[in-house]
Amino acid sequence: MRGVCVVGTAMSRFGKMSESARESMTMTSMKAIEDAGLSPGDIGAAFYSNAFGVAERQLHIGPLINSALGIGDRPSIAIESACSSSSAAINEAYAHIAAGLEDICLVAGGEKLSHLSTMEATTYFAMGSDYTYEASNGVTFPGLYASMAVAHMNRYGTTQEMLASVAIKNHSNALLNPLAHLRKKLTMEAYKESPVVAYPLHLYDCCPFSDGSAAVVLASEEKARELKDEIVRIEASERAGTAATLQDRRDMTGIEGAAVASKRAFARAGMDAAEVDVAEVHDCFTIAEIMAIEDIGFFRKGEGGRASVEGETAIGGRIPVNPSGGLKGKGHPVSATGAAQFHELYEQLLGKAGRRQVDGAEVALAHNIGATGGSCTVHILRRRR
Amino acid sequence: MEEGIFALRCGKCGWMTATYAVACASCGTGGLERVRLKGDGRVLSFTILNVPTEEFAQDAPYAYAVIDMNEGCSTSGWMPSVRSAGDIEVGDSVRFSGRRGRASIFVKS
Ligand SMILES: CC(C)(COP(=O)(O)OP(=O)(O)OC[C@H]1O[C@@H](n2cnc3c(N)ncnc32)[C@H](O)[C@@H]1OP(=O)(O)O)[C@@H](O)C(=O)NCCC(=O)NCCS
Ligand SMILES: [Zn+2]
Repeated sequence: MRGVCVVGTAMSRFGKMSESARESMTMTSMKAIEDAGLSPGDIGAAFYSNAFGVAERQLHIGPLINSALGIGDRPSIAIESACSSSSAAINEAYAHIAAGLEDICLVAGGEKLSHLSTMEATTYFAMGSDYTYEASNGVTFPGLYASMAVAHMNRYGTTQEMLASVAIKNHSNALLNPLAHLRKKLTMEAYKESPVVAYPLHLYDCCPFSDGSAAVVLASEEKARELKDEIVRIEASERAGTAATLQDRRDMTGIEGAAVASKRAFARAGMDAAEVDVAEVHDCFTIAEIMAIEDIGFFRKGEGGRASVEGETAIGGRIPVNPSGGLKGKGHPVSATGAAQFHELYEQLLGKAGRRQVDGAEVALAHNIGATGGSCTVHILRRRR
Repeated sequence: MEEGIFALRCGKCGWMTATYAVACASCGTGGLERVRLKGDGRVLSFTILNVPTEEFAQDAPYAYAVIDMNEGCSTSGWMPSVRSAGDIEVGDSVRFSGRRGRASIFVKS
């Protein structure tokens, strides 16, 4: 297998945007290509994600974006893996380059949802569950994670304050990120007073509905060394699954596929969780971050809530988690999220993260979950000379 | 929709699911048999929905529960009569009481 590196990244401002996902993804792709010091003609193949394209009445956006970049002759494909779509797309691009099929690939993900009402968007999101057996019984996406939260609280004594501490930290990190959707300090009082969306999850336990896009350019290690003095290599790109429907799992207090993908990623990279300097994890809901840091192995099972409330995951803590603000603060334009995690980690590893910089970060981990964990992707990145 | 609540069981190892499957997730055997459940179980976990989907627009707040059925599989249940977190706990006994569309309605027993 050939070495594969990140050579360029970009993301749009997350939040509400006037342009379509297709337009936003095209502009962000161009920025990522420029960030790499390349031009569109250097791209061999493109991998795009836009899971909710149908909400904009547009499918098959790959050729549209390629054509707008002036490379309508290049192959493209759309990859759908719910909220982990663009990290699944990164895994595909990685495999193409590692196998020698291509030298340089473009990955971009984006979403436009803000034209939908709360109930319409809630209904679209519920399509990521097992609609027949879960949503048809009245549950929503926040509701599924809420039932995982109840199970976690019941078994490990995780408290509402522990959940809140994740939201407060990620809101305060997002304040340092000019591209974040929610740029608002969150207090414990405001958290407690906010409406309950799905017990025990309050409004502030949930990531928002966001528009936006993110893009990543990957290249073979050989090409990357021609382009850059310092390279960021993908040390591991691993995916795993979990039984799709929550009720079919032995355990609802964690996501088995995330634990498996993490183990494989550490084995592939020849390192362990203690060597990671900074992580972006899938905090679609506060409980999801608590489960993530346990599944990855940063903390023992059941200790994630305590670690969060004690500040171990803050910038400057033992293992900074979601310095970008995460899905919770930065926003979660579903298909953009995996690529946006790469954007943050690439900047962190190159020391370009501004006021949210984790000092001396050399090893980074990205953890991205599709739906309630049916799809799990874990990447490990390392800066090298 | 046929009245009652059903599951699929592996004839070889006894593994069960109340979702859609054609092969056993435990031993790999194909040809699962359809069995009727008595309808009694216990709450494994739950949530109270205040922001519902379009199908349940008129119903919130209500509970959704993951339920461990006495026969040894888990299922999802809609509990329209449970309207606040104070009215339900993990471990509560519940029973199947009918359907609305594809939803399996459960009540406390
Ligand atoms: C929580 C939720 C129901 C709120 O719905 P919504 O349509 O955004 O709500 P509203 O538009 O009425 O927002 C009300 C206010 O709260 C803010 N807000 C909305 N969601 C927020 C969130 N998650 N966190 C903080 N603030 C939020 C809005 O900005 C708005 O503020 P404003 O009045 O100052 O503009 C919705 O964001 C949600 O379901 N999130 C989860 C999405 C999801 O499931 N993603 C998939 C995960 S894998
Ligand atoms: Zn079997």
